[in-house]
Amino acid sequence: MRFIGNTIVAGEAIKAEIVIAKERISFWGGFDPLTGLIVDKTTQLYGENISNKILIIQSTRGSSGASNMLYISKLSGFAPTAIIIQDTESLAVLGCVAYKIPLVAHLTPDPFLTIKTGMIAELITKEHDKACLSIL
Amino acid sequence: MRLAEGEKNILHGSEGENKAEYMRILTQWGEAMGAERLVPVESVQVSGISAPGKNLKGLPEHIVKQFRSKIESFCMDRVKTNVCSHIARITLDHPIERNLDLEEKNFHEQLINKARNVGIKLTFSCAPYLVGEIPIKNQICAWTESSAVVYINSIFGARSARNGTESAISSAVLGLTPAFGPILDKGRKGDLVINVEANLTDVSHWGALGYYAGKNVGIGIPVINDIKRMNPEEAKQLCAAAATGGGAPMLHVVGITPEAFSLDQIIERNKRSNYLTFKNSDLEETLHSLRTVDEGPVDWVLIGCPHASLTEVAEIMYLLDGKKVNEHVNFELWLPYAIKAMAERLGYVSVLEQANVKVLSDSCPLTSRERTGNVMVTNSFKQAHYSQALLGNQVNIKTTTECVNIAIRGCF
Repeated sequence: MRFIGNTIVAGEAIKAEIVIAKERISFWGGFDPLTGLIVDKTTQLYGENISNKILIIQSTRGSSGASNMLYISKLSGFAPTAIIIQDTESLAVLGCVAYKIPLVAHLTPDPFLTIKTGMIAELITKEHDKACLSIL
Repeated sequence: MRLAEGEKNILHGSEGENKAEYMRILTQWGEAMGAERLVPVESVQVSGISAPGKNLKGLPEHIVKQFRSKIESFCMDRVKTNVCSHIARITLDHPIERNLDLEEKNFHEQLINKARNVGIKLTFSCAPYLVGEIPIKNQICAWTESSAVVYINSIFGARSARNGTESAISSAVLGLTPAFGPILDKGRKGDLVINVEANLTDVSHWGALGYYAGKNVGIGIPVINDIKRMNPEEAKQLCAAAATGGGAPMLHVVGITPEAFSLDQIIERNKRSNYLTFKNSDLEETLHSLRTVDEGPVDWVLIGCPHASLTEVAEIMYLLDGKKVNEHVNFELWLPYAIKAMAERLGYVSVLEQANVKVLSDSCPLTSRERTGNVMVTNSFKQAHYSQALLGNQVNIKTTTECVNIAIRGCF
């Protein structure tokens, strides 16, 4: 399966496991940057570890501390390896821009219909151009 | 995005590496968010300029050093705009009782000096409007703290996107911010009407309304209808809860907030048909949604999320009416340092401390990661929502009066 999106923040080619949910996650308050765990009990991703994974979510919500948390997770080694969002919410974008975490937006076809957590994928991002996610 | 000649030069290093990086952040962020250009900004609320406290717990020394360097780097360039700051990660109050590390304290005080040298006012509050930072309608701002952004956009008609540490310091130093979202007229129109039928008799009810609105509107802008009146404390809870429940950068309250004269004028006709009604049953359900416990002992009562106003400090004092907080309860009242100073002069702090209330400034449990109890009762949706995830405590939302009564009893 192949999906195309817009590269917001480009990076090296990535091969990693996917964690996916059609939800809005808060990186501040919903994510523990010292372990990589999602700690927000109101989401279906509660308990999931997103470190070194390709995280595919609808978008982010809540606090402006999100970018700080992404920074701490990068320092601690528990950051996601790439993030894919369907809605560009300003704080997710800022964190990825500031700390150079590959970010892709508006993936088509709809990833929530066919992609499941645990699938392995390859993600190629190109600055100011399209990104391609291939399920292996 | 179209950059002016001067902006391009800064991006390419004409004013040094730091400013080039700040320009890169603003342009890359702005472009991703659909901005066509950068505009001058007048008021900035920065965040993250604080000793890290318990936020880096367990991380090796070299990483803590790296993090501290990053924070110090934010105080290297003279700022171009009015700059106030978000909350600190530590409070300097009662350092011994709160186990404040001497090294943290020194680093924090050095930051206050460094910030002063570059023009940053470390006001340390999540509600800067309480300490005189009150933007005028249409003033372009770059504020962090989502609850404060919603407040200034909605209640004052100011124009700020939801910023983070990195974009805010970039804006403070460069005097620019990308024009997207609520900075533009088209980014301020309503998306979903919420007709209010419920009886809102306490700030926690306004929080419920905000939380409900935020959750239902996603990243759109809610239009709250059928409200006859609102006071600043109610507005504060409404905005904070909306920012917690969703991604909206602002809301409108028809007939009350400065841009919403009428329903017709703030939301397009085709969006009006999908309205929601906030009934008493929705109020109950929303209050209930964040409750994890409702009987037994309570050991932590929290008021002041967002930070308490002088009015709220007085209110707690009058509700206590000479009684003392139960010896097993940790009652924390969080507020900006400036408000605490005034409350001290008026004798409120001494009365409250005699009643065993801890009046604490600059910070809050969510930012400091200091959990001082197992069962928290609060009137704040923001605190209830985040503390359970960040700190792992049990939680219940009650009215302000109920919070005080529970604090006196020591149980539900």
